[in-house]
Amino acid sequence: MAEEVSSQMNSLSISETNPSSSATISLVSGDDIVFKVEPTIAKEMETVQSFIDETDGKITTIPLPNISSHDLPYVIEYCEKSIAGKITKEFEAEFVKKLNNEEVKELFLAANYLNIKKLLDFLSQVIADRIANKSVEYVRRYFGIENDFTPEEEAKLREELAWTFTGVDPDDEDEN
Amino acid sequence: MEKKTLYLPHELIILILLKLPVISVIRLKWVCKLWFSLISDSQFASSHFEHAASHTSKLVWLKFPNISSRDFEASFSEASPSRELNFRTASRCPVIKGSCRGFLFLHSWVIIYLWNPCTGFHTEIPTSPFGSKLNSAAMNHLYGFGYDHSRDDYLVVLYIPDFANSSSHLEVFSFRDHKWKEIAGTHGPYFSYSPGGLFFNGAIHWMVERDDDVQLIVAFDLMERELLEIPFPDEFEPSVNLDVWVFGEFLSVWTKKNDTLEIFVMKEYKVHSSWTKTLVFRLPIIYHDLQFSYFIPICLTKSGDIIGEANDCFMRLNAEGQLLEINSDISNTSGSKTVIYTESLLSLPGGDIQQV
Repeated sequence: MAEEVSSQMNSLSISETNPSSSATISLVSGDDIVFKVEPTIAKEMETVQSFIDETDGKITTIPLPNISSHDLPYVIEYCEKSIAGKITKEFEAEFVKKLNNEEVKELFLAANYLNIKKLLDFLSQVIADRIANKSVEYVRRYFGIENDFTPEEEAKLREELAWTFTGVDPDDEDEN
Repeated sequence: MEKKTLYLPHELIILILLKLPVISVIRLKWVCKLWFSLISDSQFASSHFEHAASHTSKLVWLKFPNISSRDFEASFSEASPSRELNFRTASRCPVIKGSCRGFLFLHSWVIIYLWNPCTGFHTEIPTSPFGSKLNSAAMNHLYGFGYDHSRDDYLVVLYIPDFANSSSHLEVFSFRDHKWKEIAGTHGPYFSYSPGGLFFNGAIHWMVERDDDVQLIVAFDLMERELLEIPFPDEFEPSVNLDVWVFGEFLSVWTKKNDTLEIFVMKEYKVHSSWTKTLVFRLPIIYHDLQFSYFIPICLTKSGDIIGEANDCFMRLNAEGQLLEINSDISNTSGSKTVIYTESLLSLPGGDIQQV
């Protein structure tokens, strides 16, 4: 489902050219797909904008080796909504509904790399909501973290933190 | 889809942890040693507290010999049941006098404790040199605990009226300096029925009676370190059932006469003309014609309901005074009060003297 949506968006973004705007910015994903965006979109991405500023606007093709063509359309979509002032709770709910846990993390890293404060803030809340009521084991799997406590330390922690285990959801099958 | 796990750098993990409620963050100390140290860091605790989105507030009261807490925003029947907080000390069970930034201000005879139930941080402050000289019953001493933002310091305030000499003694304990300091000048003397003090807007407030029998609020400004009087609204009639509390974001006084509750709100802090009579209603009758022997409003919920304490139960009333819900699991020990407590990961300056 997510694949379908994003590939549609890919083709839209690629074919969309605006002849009236000569200053269109080309963003090149890590897998060499070119996305043409309006300069106002680039402004939302601090990393891209500072690159443009440093070259006095002469360079308008920006390689983004850390971002895949799968993630970039989501980032662009979010920035477009942000500029239009159309970030609503409904939009955000729809936006993340189609993203699995790994995709959310990928986008979170992309937002960090591009330095898009609003998206970073939003996605940190999304991840927080997804782990807030989960067990410690679930969270370790979610982030790929190894438990490095000794059995003695574990026993002490289990006792100290027992009160925080109430209301924890049972571990379901991980989504990804 | 290929199975892989993306690793996030520390600074991004911190962004996520800042968005979690206190209880989740504490649980996740157990994830690994790195997370344990990230979460235990005092800088992280401050950032987490400043992040308003993650605040969780609870009612806390003394149900002898334990301290209990429960949620109040959601309906009592849907919220998780009350939880007992284990405060273990060698001495007798302390009473609750107040709360500020995740700390409970507890008092047992002459010992003052500050305790963060979430982190277990617990400290006991030395008796004031002046207070310890007094042999008088500590019944009429006023206490308060609050936070001075300008100095990033926590203060305990002790006010001792001296009716025989129409005088008083006022001193503060600073956690940064770790000592008591006398505040010069004569104030009052004031007498109060609710000696716990209310921390609001950088000051501690007490409802008091001056020696000329006038009822008013006195506030100790923690930044300016001075005591000042805030007179009651002009149309306020003297009463025996009244106190100062917080109504939403405003300083407020309530008074109960027979079965009628009146609530006045100070719309602009310290501006006398901004006192506004906001709510007046008759308290509901719960058991046939049996009235509550007492009713104490505690707080306003986000949805505008009033949570109050009456006859050993919590009641939820709407703004018209209609009873929405009753929860009967309290029995506050005399001298203790039900306080609103906001969970935090904070510690006090001066270190942890003793872990609970």
